[in-house]
Amino acid sequence: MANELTNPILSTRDLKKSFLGVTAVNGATFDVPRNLITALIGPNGAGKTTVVSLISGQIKADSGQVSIDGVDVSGWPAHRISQQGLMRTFQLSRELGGMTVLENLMVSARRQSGENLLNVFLRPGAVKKEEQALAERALEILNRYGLYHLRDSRAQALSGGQKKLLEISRAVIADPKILLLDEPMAGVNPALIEKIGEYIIDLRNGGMSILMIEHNLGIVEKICDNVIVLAEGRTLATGKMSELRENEEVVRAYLGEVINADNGR
Amino acid sequence: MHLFWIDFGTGLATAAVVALAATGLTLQFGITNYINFAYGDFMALGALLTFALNNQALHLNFWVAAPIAAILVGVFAVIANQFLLAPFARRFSNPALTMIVTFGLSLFMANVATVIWTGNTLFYRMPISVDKKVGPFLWSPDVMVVMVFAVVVMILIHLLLKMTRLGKMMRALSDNTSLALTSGIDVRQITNVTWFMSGLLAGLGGIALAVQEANLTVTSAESYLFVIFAAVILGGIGSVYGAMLGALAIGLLTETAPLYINAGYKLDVGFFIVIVLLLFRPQGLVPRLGRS
Amino acid sequence: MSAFFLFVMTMVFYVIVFWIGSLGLDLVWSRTGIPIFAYYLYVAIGAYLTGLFSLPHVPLQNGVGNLFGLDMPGLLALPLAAVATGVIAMGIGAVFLRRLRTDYLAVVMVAVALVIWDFSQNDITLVSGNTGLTNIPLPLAGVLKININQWTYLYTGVALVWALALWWVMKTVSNSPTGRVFRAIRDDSVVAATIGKNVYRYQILSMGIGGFYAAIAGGFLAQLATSWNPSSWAPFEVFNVFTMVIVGGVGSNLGALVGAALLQVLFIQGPTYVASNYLHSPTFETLAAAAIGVLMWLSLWFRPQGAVPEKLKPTKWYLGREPQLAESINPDLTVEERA
Repeated sequence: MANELTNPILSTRDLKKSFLGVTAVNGATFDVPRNLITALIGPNGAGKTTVVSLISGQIKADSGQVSIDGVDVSGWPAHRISQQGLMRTFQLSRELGGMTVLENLMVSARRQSGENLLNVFLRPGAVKKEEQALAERALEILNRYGLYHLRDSRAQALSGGQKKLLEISRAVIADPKILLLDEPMAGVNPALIEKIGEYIIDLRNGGMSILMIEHNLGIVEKICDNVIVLAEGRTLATGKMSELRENEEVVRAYLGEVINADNGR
Repeated sequence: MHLFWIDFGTGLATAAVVALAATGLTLQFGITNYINFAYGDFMALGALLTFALNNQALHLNFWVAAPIAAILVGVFAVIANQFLLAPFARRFSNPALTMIVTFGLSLFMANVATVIWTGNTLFYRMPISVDKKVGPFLWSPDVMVVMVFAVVVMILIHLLLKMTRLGKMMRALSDNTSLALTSGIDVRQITNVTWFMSGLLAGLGGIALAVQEANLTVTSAESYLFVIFAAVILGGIGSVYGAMLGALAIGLLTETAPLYINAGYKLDVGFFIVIVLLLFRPQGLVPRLGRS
Repeated sequence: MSAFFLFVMTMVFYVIVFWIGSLGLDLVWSRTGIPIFAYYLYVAIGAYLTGLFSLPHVPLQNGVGNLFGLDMPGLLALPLAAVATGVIAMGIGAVFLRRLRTDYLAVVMVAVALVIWDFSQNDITLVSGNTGLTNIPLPLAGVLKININQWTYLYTGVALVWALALWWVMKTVSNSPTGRVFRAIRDDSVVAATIGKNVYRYQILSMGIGGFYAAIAGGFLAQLATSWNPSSWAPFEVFNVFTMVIVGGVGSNLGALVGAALLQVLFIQGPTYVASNYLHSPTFETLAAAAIGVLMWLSLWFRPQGAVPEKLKPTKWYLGREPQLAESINPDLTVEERA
């Protein structure tokens, strides 16, 4: 672990955010290692989703630093952070509903010359070629995630599970350095949970770094290499799941609660 | 200095008009949460129905015709919301689309009103009221009645919101719709009551405007729409007491402005306040006194 | 017969002009999602600038005159005025798009249009207040020595050429990756930022293009009327253009034409002609204007996609051929999902 942590892909230092006087994130500090799957866990209200939104720039932090691959991106607007190589998905899927599934992927790709109107009118041939190549690539990705047959459907017509996969493929086409997944398996059927787990492992094996919020500790144990525990807006502990089960503080704050809840059922 | 106080007095009279209309608008916005561009036409309808009852049919005394007309506008507002605006607002999540629908209502009402009442200047059938000196101010007895009436209405609204069960439910619904839904409040009924009051106050505001200007046209209230928006935004959107204070500020500002700038721009003071406030302080200048 | 023919030609002219106007509004509102309630302000600015660019400078005297006049040929004044309006529209966008949420933005846009409308009525130094600009030259009429009727026929043709060119431009823009970014912003501006698009910049670009289209429409209106003043327009007329877009088809270039034609023929120019030539009373015209509101409600309720709906582009459109991958279906998606 030590080697991986000397050069993290993403790190936060003392992130703080409060809404109307209520503190949501209170000094989140952690490093996300390269080429691993890291889980971000914590009890409800621990500020997990807020941390993800602070990192990806949807919400401005009150204070603290975020750096991606050694570049300090604190205070940057969301689109610049994204361009720096960070992609995220949303807990409640946010598809671009009026566009087709294929277009949802195509619009997400990086460095398209046709996104500048000058090129559209002055170099139409080049733009067209690029579009064809991009469509091919998007189709491959859709095929990988089993969405190929839905390519021409309006994205808003997809089912919940399909939208989850669409969000992942929309992030993948941009080839991010770090991928933030906000509960990628929430609300989908058990068979698909397995499948999404495999997809995430495949992405790691392909060299991507992943930080995912996940409630299901069984899944975390199975697919995540590293775990960050958040409680009351602060980083409580980091390490492997097996190590954290031994950590009394963590068990008290979070794991105990889950275990108790499980016993209660 | 003398001129300033006369304009200041006119400002107080305008504030009375704006306060009536602005409380109605802010009540409605607090509960239905979209902006009603037809509100100026609701005001005009009050003034025009009064004209109809006073000059065209029944030939009622103005002071009898006015409250009947205002109640009719309240009923109209309930119908307009129930059968037109609310269904659109439920179906389309984009607030701009509901605004376009209210735009359509404005266009519809203004044109139908033009067909019925023509574009001419109309006058109520009532004794001519001569301006009198009251301290440093210059007011006609009719305008003074309007001002006293507006103050009474404001006090009644205060009592309604603070003292009655209905008022408490209205405030609860305005503060938090989802909470109100779970606490067993009959949302539909409260919404209808709110729209009725909103229409009633719009009608009264329109009539008061016609009295203050001593005449009316089908379009004269429309130009006041954004002045009323200004009062509402100044006081914090959805806040009733804020709207009252906002109305006072806007009334005084627009009427004293001609001392310093071209009188043609007097209403633009209101428009300008709308722009600047929404840009820099959309929560308004007045803390939410009306909120618990 | 000839009077009727002239009326038909004038109506065709209006249809073409409002097609152009609807195309611009469609881009900003239906394809980028900005509630551009100040759109008619851009129409008016385009009209004023076209007038000022093609009129000579008349020093202010007895409340009539203009601050400047460039005395350009009308054919050139029109596009230059449109470019200038596009820049102004981008400036307005840059100020207001940065910080306002949708419904407040809509209100502010109307307020801005109202302030400038009032300014055009009260300020006599810039464009003569309520007198406005008069004697705006008919482009080509002097050179070709033709009368006003002949000019109307000729200029309807010129407008058509402009409209077809602008239709092609709009088609190209909306089919391009740039158009795709606009639509992404419309569908969800947060997601658009998440995938690395500079939302603010694209919104301003959309406003600029929309302003250009509005100004071309406005310039044509001013040239046809040979004058432009505060009673030639009102900020609330934007509602008519919104109705054209909604009835015709949100996000559809051809729909913009259908909407413009429907409104101009059946609800605006047609009723005006009938009212003044046969009924000799403006009531019918006013009722037709009221009916536009009803038309919009019915259209939005029963056919929200409009007469000519926005077309989705299939894979074939992007690839230039049928895709060749074998159909793969994720079997786990067919299992019934948890709620």
